[in-house]
Amino acid sequence: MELNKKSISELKELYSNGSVKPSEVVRACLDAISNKDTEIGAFLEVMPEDVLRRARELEKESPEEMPLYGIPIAVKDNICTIGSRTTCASKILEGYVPPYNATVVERLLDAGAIIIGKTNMDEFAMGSSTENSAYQITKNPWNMEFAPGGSSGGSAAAVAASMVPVALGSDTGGSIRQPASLCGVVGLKGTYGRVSRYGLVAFASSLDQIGPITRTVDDSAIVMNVISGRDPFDATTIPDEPGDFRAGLGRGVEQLKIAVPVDLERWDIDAELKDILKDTIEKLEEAGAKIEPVNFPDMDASIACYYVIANAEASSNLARYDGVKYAFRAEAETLDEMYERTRGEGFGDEVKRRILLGTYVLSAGYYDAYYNKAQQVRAMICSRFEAIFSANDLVMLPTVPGPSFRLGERIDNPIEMYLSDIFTTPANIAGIPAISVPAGLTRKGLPLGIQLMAGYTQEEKLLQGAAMLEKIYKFNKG
Amino acid sequence: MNSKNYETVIGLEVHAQLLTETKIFCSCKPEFGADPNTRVCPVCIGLPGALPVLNRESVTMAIMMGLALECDIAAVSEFSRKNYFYPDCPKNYQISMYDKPLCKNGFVEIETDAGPRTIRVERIHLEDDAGKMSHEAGKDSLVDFNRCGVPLIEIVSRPDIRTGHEAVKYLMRVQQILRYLGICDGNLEEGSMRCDVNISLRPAGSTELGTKTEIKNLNSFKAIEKGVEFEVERQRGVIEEGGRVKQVTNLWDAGSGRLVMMRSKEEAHDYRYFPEPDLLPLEVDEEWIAGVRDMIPELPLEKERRFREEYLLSNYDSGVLCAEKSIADYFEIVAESTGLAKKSANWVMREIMGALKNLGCAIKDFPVEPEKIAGLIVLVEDGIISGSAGQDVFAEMIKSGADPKEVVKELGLEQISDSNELEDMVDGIIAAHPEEGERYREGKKNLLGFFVGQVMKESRGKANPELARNIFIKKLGG
Amino acid sequence: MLSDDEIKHIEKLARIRLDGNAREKFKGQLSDIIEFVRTLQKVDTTGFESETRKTPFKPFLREGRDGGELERDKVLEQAPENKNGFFKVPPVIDKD
Repeated sequence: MELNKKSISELKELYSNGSVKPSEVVRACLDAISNKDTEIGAFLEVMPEDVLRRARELEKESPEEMPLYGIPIAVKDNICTIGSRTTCASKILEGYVPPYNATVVERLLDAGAIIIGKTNMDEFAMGSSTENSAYQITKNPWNMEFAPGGSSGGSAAAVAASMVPVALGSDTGGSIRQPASLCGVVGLKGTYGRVSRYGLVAFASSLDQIGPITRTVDDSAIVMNVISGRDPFDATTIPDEPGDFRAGLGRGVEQLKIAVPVDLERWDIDAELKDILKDTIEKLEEAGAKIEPVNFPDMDASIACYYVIANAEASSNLARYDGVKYAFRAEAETLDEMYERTRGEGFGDEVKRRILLGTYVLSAGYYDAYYNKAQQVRAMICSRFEAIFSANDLVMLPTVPGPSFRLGERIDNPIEMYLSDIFTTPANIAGIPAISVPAGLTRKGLPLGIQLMAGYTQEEKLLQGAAMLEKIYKFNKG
Repeated sequence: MNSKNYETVIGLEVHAQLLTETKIFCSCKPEFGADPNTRVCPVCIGLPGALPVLNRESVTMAIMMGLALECDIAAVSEFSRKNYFYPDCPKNYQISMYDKPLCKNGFVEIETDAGPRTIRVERIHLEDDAGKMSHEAGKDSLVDFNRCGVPLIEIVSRPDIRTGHEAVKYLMRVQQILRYLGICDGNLEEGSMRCDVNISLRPAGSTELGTKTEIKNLNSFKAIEKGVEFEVERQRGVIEEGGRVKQVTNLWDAGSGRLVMMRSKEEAHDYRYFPEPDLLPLEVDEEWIAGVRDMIPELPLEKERRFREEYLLSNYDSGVLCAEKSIADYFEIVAESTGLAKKSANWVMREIMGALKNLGCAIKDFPVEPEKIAGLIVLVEDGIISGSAGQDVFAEMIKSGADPKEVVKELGLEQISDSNELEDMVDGIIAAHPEEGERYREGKKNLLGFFVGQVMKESRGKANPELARNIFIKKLGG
Repeated sequence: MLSDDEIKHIEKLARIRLDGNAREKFKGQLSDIIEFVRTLQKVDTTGFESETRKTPFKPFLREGRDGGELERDKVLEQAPENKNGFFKVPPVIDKD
């Protein structure tokens, strides 16, 4: 029984009939990590003693009361965990240990989960390949020469390689869904405000959301049930009780209206992925769904809008890394020199590019042309989505235009890297939920993903549709 | 052009720390003079991942000030980020209101030497305070973050002020209102209330504004008056020599009584304001405003007017009594209990305020309750004790806090107003001083004072001096 | 294309110092990105205001909770330098 390969729902079953103990499951995951992660490089930190101690403590409790009893979980390194390093894979936060837990971490612990370690990422979640980590490269478990995607590449790789059943990622412009797609796992970003951002190191505050990366759709729903809900520490969380995200999983897609953008041809989409999409449409129709062609919001504008807003917010959010309060400080004689050298040496190139761009678009004389205009475009995209979802239940499109790419291939071409987010950023711009479901493999053996989006707060429907896709693709079973 | 041909134009920005239980965006409890960095948490110190949540009480207090200054309260206002690097600002941005302030278009009425004036208030907005730095020349600087996140309101006047004297009067009125509302202790020296002054000169009769300069660090009324005078003279000098005033920020150096240039416009910041994405726009409904309106006590001008009408006090007296609400409240209890408004006013202004000054305490810490002072005034007015005995009783009451009647009994100070008893005493004194009696009868009438003095001495101050005087006149004849 | 002065000004505002080579590389890349996001200006946004951030729910406020103060040692232990309970920074030198 390879316990590290079990899903959350399978583990819950095993715990509740008493056939396994948390320490056994944790041991299996730790073994998988020590066997595979030297090569993959998904984890920045694993603390085996703490993990085993926590597992043994849990063994004194009853599994029934805790929805994630004994479930090992990996956490992206931009989510604060008391007593263990939280570096955002940046040199500027080298060795930083937060004195508080993120709200999601508190919720996971209360639910009985065991945090097994911190995963690698693009520095401050800026990137789409996890190559922007100051510490290590993470490889795609399906092919070690390929990127796992990013920025939550460590989390996606850890789940794909069965080192853990679930990992948390964060998604600002696709950073959960894109690596999930590239690694053949399920990645969900909820409605903006669904999951508390308290303790998530901010990249772009109006876009960031934490979400689960899992091997099954059901597991995503189980984790969302635990981490969702209003948080008095995050004023942007949605006040309503979220309900049960598993409720729609078995319902099928009969009567669901699923919109598919008509102009996907405009994008350079991988041929095998196009075939999958066509095939999916047929199967969904067979299952009783109604497929509607729609005009999608202007995706070029969406991605430009995304880069202006995200980087403007980032330039301000990342101002606090200045060498005064924590972690890295460069030697300097004067205050200004300390600031400029600490930030010049502490941030990697991509982060510096984005801070400089964000600073530029907010600076005197440019605000209206860039930031303000981007906010207007954002309002327009939101309104376009409202119209789409007033007539449809879901939107379906690829998560990424194609499969993974070779490590190093795009690192010096920022715009090409940005364009791989073309299908994921609209959901962040509009604040709506979206999920990537693994759909199959290319002939070369690299995973492809299909994305669903739903209207504001309609995660239940989103998961309902995703469960049907999972059933169609049989990815994990076949 | 001679110097009389210029008009001085002054606008004031007043920052007032609100006396909320907790800081504006977190739960830390501010305390002036606490050990450095002991009143801080992840939010106010800007730790990675921490988020602000707006404190309701701070909004309520800001609305109170808005209503007290007759402002319009915005149904929707918005916080923005003001981006600048300085070590006392842990996030390197301040959360402040920029283009959508909470309160707009109010006014303050002041009394000046030249009569009443109305100073318009442009806006009142909420923001978070910065920490404190201490610098040693040429050495490292030290930072204390305790003050970070203390709620501030910034009250911005229109450029309606014409002299340093008016600036001080305006500031005193603002301070008085803040204290009446109980939302700020208004202490300039401790910095709970701070004032920046903008000054420009223009030819008399002109409606255009000249180039303004700013003075910061004015931490007393005297500094404001001096600083303004200094700057007006400096600008006048520049203009009269044919030069142009440059837009600069000056610091007032109280030690030397001079202005020191801090920065010029060329180095001015580009604050890159943008809406704070961690906080949603602030909505204030009519119900909230109505609730706040009910919390507003009678304000100084109303109270002064009522004192003049109800107690028939002079402008001067009502002004003095209403300077502080607690004094006015004290006076009212005394006046109501005695039914003697003018006498009560005199006692409060002379004895009580004198005693407060000697004791160096505020009226709330004054050991004698107003009801007891009223009792004392009645004892004097009814002739039970003499005026001078009244002073002794008052002194004793301050020491022990005792009831005036008890003090009178204890010290045996009740006046002898029994004519038989006094006649016996007078007979004895006349018999003992035959020479003085003779000279009196010869016309040296001012010896009457000597005889009354003798009776006061013999009675150890208890004789009713008026009565004794009449008996002497009768007995000495002539 | 960004000029040298422009990129230096942005570096100054962002307090990030680039060395000469990096500046050249960034100047090109940033110019490309700015060119790319400039496409926004062609989008017709008539009728869409940037001002109102629409949220379908009413924002909530903090009603005052118990103090969340950290122990000072926990605050200072992460600091690169501290002294007598304060954070310590290099001298603030006025450049005039």
